[in-house]
Amino acid sequence: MKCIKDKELMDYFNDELNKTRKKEIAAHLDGCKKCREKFREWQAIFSLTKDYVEKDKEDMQIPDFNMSKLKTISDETAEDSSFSLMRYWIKPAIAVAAVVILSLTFLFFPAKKDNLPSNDNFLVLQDDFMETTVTQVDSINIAYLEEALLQEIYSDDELRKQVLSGEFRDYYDIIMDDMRYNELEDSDLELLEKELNKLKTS
Amino acid sequence: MKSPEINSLFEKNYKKIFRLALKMLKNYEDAEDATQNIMQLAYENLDSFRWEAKFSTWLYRIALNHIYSYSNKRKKQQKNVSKLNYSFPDSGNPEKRIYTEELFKKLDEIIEDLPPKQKEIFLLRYYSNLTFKKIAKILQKKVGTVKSSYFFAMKKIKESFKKKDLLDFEEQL
Ligand SMILES: [Zn+2]
Repeated sequence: MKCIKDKELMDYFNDELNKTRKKEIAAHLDGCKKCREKFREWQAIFSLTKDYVEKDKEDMQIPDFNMSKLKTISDETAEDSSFSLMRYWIKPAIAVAAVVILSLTFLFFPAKKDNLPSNDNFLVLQDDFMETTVTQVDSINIAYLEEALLQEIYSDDELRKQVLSGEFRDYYDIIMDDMRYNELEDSDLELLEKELNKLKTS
Repeated sequence: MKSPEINSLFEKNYKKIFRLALKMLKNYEDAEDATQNIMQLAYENLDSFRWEAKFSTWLYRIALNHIYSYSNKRKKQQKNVSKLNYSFPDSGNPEKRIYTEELFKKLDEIIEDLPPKQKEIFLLRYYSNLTFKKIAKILQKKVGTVKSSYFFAMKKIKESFKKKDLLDFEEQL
């Protein structure tokens, strides 16, 4: 039998292997010092992780949850309160929501590989070929954009539901990855400025 | 207004989501705030929940979305986040206790530094006790993809310990 791959050892410790395979692995470990060493390392890591998580969970003081803490929306205030929650929720997630809206409204920019400063605002654009680009914008521009986008989201029931049901998750992942690698070129920024100005005046 | 079955669905998931929020936001106040918001959001939007999907899958999607939004918002406000501290009981061998403490702190740092996707999967697996299949459903990814991310996370943990020559702790303990 060939030596055991790390990935399979991990499956072993996550109890994802069938009995036959487990027996085969045990048999191989008996006769292979190299794999025994690897096995011991993984075993140490999994047991440490388990202990750590257990201890961590034990230390957590989880407040009691009570359904009655949840506000029921009365008919009178229904519209208002769901609006404010929606607003609160979507606003910070604007980079995520922007993906879809902007794909209809905006031009798309080529990506460039480099590092980005982490404390800036980003605009995420996705074109019809699912190519995602991350763009840096200043806070004034982003405020205009947010407002325009939010209005669009509020007025669109289907979109609101999509945001809530997490269909933007995939985009979010792409954004997280892209943020580390993309940087805007000056020409991109110029284009963006132009688009933002169009948006402001319209 | 809502049925008792719904209530129990919320209650059943509350702790797991709180733990997730706490690990991701690293602050009790924020975790409580975020978890409350998540429950409120889910409660208000039960109508948009399609019952062919599992309730908890839907709830976790809302939770993850909200936690990320929350943490982004916090970054914008440049709010400081205090590190969670571990309190170790004073029992047993003090040398062993200090040693374990050190390992846990190290592990805490490694988990903190995992790439976002790997960290998310790690936390869903260990802190929300979800299966790979369930995590894949929540993240709308293939089970294989989720398992790979998890594998890379564990590998990173192992390599970090190996680099620091801390891997033989089994024998030292
Ligand atoms: Zn071998």
